[in-house]
Amino acid sequence: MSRPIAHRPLWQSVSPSSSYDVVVVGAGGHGLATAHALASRCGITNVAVIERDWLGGGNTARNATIIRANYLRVDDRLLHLDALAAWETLDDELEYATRFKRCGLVSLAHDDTDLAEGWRLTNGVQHAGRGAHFISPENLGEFAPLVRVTEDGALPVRGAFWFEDAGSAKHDHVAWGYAAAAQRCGVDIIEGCEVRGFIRRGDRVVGVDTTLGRIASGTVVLCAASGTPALLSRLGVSLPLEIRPLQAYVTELLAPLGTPMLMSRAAQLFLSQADKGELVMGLPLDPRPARHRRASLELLEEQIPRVTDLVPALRRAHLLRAWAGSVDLTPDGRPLIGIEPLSGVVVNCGWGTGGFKATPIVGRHLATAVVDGTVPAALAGYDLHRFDGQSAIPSTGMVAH
Amino acid sequence: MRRLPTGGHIDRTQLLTFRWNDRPMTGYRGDTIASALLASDVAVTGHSLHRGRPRGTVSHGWDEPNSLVSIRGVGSRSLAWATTTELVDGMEVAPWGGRTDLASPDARHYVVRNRHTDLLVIGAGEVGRVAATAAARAGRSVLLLDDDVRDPSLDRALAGAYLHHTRAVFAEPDGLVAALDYRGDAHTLWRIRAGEVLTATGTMERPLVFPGNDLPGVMLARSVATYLHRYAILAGDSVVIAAANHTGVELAVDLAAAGAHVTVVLAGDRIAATERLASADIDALSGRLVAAHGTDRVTSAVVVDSTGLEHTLECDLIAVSGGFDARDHLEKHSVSGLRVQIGKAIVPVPCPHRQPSTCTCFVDQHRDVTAADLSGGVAAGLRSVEHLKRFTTLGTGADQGRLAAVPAAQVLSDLLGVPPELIGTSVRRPPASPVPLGALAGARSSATSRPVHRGPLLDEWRVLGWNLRVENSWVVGARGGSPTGVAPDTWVTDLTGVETCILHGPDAGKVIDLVAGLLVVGNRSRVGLGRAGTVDVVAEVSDVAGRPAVVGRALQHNSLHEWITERIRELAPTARCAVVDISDGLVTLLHHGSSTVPTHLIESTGSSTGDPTGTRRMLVRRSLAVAVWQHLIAAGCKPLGHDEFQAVRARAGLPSEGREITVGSPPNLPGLVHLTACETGIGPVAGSLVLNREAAPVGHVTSVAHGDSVLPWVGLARIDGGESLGETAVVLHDGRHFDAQVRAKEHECTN
Repeated sequence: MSRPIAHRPLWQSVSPSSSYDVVVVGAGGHGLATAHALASRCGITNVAVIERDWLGGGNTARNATIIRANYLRVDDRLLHLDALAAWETLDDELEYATRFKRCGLVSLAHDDTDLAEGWRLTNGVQHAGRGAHFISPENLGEFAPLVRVTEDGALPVRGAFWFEDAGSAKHDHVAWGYAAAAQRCGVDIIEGCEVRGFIRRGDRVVGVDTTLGRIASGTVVLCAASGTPALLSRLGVSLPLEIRPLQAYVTELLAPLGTPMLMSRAAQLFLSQADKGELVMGLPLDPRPARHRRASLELLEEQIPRVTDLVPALRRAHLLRAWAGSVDLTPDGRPLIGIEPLSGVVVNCGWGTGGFKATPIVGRHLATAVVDGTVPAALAGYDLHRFDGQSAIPSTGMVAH
Repeated sequence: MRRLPTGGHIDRTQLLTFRWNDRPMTGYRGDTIASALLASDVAVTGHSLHRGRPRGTVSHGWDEPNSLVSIRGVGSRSLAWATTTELVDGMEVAPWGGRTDLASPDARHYVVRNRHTDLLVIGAGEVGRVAATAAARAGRSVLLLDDDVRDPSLDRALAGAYLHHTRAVFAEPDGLVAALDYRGDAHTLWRIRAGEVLTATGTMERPLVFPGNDLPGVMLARSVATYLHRYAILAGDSVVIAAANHTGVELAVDLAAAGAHVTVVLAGDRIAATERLASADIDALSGRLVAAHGTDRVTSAVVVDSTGLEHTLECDLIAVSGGFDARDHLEKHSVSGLRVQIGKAIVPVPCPHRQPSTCTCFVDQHRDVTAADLSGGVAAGLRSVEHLKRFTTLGTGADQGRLAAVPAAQVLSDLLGVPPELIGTSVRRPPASPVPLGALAGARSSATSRPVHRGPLLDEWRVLGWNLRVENSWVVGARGGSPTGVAPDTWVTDLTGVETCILHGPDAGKVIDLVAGLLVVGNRSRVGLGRAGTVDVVAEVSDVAGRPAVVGRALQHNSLHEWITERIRELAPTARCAVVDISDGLVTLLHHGSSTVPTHLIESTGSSTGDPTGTRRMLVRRSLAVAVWQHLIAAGCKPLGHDEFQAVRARAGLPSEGREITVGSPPNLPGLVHLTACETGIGPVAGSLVLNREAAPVGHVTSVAHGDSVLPWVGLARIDGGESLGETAVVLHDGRHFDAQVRAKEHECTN
């Protein structure tokens, strides 16, 4: 009785072939972008992306879609400025509306630490020729009208910083746009296919053993986020990754707040209003390592009073859904990228709480890494083995993100 | 739709007036807004979000997708469910309109309360009430929650242990349940710790998907019965009932008895039902409902009988029931990723799946998602219900799509040729119903989840005309202006935020040695390192009132106490040692110069902070702090505010916690440099950029002591790893350039 209507196809999950030039493990944003870049930019089309669950259903579906480039470290900042440029042209590249929107970001400053860090970012961004400036408490109403500006309480507002290089995109559409574009270039997308082990010849990995059978592969690229430690353990490799839940929650549709994206370090708040009107908010990282993806009342109860202190009108908004992603954190909050020297496997992990924003640029660089057999300079700072045998790590640490 | 002259559980002696879309109306005490509207023959309670279609009340509870309202005047709120909100005299009610206006009035206020019980029963249906009363009789402490109206018999049976109008919204795996008492303006968020939780939340009725199923006047059968029995409302005078189960027969008999003309559409030959209906003189038709017609409300139903003949039945109400599904949202929240299995009792969905622009087979009425929309997703290649949810926005509305989930699985089953139980519903995310953020905050504020510490000297600082502000959760005092950091001969300052923990127990000595061993020498300070070799705490072991103590600040942890207890748990789990945080009882003062303080006022004198000219750290009892402070000031000591003290350290080239020594900084602070301005005047701020001779950024300023008309400013700066700096540097702040000389490199800062 069905009469399916005509609709432009997105992607179709297929059965795996026995052999590919490249197998990408993980059909999230990074994995799909890598496959797409291999096929569309490097001429390598015999590529499969395998996904143990549903495409784009991990942290791609669970993150708060913040895209920004106001990083403390110069190399982080340059990478994310490149990413922003890639976001700007992504819809044309994919022929798909990912709804990227550059809307800017307001970051509140509550104390000396916030002010110093905000100025450090602002001066760095200005030096790079991009827009950023301080907003005095008196002028904050123009940028974030609902924020209660007060000198008292636990969260006094001593000002804020405006960064133009920030925006958001529709996370699902990013994954789907990449999947559709990659498949048009000949990439196989295989959902419901979990890696059980690696096929080796000598020290080299020459394929993956999956729940859908053995798949031979010239190169294996891991884009598996919190699934990475289990995969690496099968190679006998251990990286300093800690897996923790990161929660977000959303309200009902609200009339426009007149605030683009709002961040507060002290309130550990990230807030952004989507096109349709719902408000997406991020919670602080779960303090304990865990693998579940369950929202926890405890963290909501801890954070929501801070949110309603800063934006009192939100007391009348409603919590509709809360959820968690499972993020892979490194000691310094920066990713781990490299080619595992023994096995030849390309590893991309450790993006922690902030991998979404880098999606379009990571895909291109990882594709280059596959083709050249070496990690491009833009990712060199994320060396896989930078923590090996070190008792101390350089510079900024977790606060960088 | 009309109110019957008798019956119902409403109080007809209390007539209430309210306004709907500015039209005056009446209801009775005991009505919900939805029942009062039905009694007033209001069929259209709003228009749909995207397609602007008229919509009416479908249900009588929290699952309602259409009758969402906003209320002004008495009992004002930005968003409310007409089906669960009690009518109050003087309310001004209007459709919600699809978006909450945060500027609209809202009379709700919230408290958070805790309760403990042996057994928590959620749901006062048959199972819940029997379980709760039996357990109470057996002497157990019991709490029974129900999200519906009050049942007086339970009040008697479970005095004080029965909460009605209270909806469980979170059920945590550790037994914590959060429930919202949503009645009236004063809402309570109950946090309930239960030894055992019995979830007896019953079932929810499944709507049918067919063309025109969103017309006002298409309602769930059980809700039609509830409006009849509880509110004495006949929701239609001419009723077509299409039900997959016995509910339809019972409802038909009751509606006919109340005076309605009823036709029952029976799926298949059901002899017992036919006989029962015949005896009540009710028309029965074997077949299926295929469409509803009407403009602003239902005017007819189209039924195809078992011989294939089409009948058009004039009616003003269609009561539907596609079967019942377990209301298991609450327990499914605590299980990650589990998909719901769907039972077998399904009425086939006669959906022609037409073009999205014309399809009126609504799966999710709130989000305006039709069967054709789902069909579009399938045509695009999507198979997972998670993808189709995101493709169509199915189930993401303010009603949380509870009525939409199972019909969606049925439609997808038909489209994909897969049994619905293999399709399932998308993973359910808490809360079980929308919760105002205000309810989760309650009276709590950022100050309760992030306490602000206040020392005893605040009044002293006010007398000095200082500004008080919060830094790193402590109130500090600052003189204001741009301090130059030129230290007077003798001064005193309050080291706000320094924590003191003393160790008790037979193994205290062993533990203090352990802690002393963990504190490695960093740049001028002793620091405890984290797992990546970065600074977690800045602290030293000391002696307070004859006991071993640790004094310092935590950078990475919430407190020094937490860091010590974690280290004990990790390295000496069997040690008999208690760590007692006595920071609240003590004040740490830093004093420089020759004036002395009577020793009986001082608890302990810490080691010198390294300043060769005699700076002493004093631990003073909180109650004596004002006396010590006043004594020193009377003796000629100049009080230094927070910013002045930072400036003194900066001018002296001394690193400070939270500025140079930060979370993630290595203990020996490589790359720390001391800058001196080439010119006099006020300097840049912390966070300014340090550029090398090629104008490339190589680091940033962390602390500044300002200059004045004769004095150059000086600052401390961190140079990024691997970068180098010559003898001069340029400091960039907000577009202004400052020339500086590099006065000392890291090794010279260290001593």
